[in-house]
Amino acid sequence: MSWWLLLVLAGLTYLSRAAGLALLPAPPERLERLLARIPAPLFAGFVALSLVDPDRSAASVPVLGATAGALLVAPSRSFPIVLAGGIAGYAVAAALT
Amino acid sequence: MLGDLSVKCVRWAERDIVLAAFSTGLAIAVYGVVFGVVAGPGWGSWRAIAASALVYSGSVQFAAAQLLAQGGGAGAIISAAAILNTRNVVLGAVLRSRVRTGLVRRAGIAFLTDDESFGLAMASSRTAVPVVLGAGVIFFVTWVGGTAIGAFAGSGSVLFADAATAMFPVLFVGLAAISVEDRAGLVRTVAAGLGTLALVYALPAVRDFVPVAVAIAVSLVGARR
Repeated sequence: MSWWLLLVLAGLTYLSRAAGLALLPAPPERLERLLARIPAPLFAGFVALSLVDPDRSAASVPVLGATAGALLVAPSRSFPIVLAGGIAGYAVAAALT
Repeated sequence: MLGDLSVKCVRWAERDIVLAAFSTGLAIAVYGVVFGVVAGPGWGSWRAIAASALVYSGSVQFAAAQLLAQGGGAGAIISAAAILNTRNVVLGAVLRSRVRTGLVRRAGIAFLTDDESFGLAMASSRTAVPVVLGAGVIFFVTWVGGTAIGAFAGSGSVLFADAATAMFPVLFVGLAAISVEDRAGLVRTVAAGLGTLALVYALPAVRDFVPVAVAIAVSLVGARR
């Protein structure tokens, strides 16, 4: 890894983050309404991404247990409760495997 | 779960955001250690740490380390980074509505906007700027610090990687739960989760784009009404 390549990667990454947030013009109202609907499905997608490894194998049983535990208490909509559910799910799954 | 959707668009209080930021920061530190262990021997310890401080993107850094290890050239690494970074444009556009501040400040906090700080900023009852700054600084310090530990301490320091892996789905389950606004939103969210799961399994080569593509697709359904 050369220094110049490192700087190119840093520049590309920063520009991609600044583009939507600062550099591009503000989206029109209709697009803004659409963008407002994206977070929940996007977060669900990130959860799903965590459950399948790049080689298409499932995540470890404790990770699946943590996710299941968090999902069980997700209706509480409270992060401490979701975190506790995740820890409990992880511990139970780890103990069983 | 459907019965709880009478609660509309709740936001996490400051206490929950701080707890989420510190617990996620711990997980990010462990991932930083893993990156330090992976990249340190080939890149040199200080260059691996500089990568975490300057690039500050786990997906780009791990991809670069993997491509370099496989003999990939600069063109391949830059192309991979450009493709991986495209989703940041969408995250920035979504976050923009909660960042009511000037161009310079928006450009400044852009550096600290990753998946996790974006999620917390969207979940917070406060404006996004202090959340991105506060959580972003925690994540940045833990990521760079973890890389330093991994680069200098070596492979004996990755014992907790599996527990750290579990932190990310737990965080995003919590973020999804509070971001759902109504029954239609719940249906879109569940559909996005299941759709992403299927597509990530079917198309592993493009897995990093799948969550954004699926989220946009399900959000378009019924958007004209």
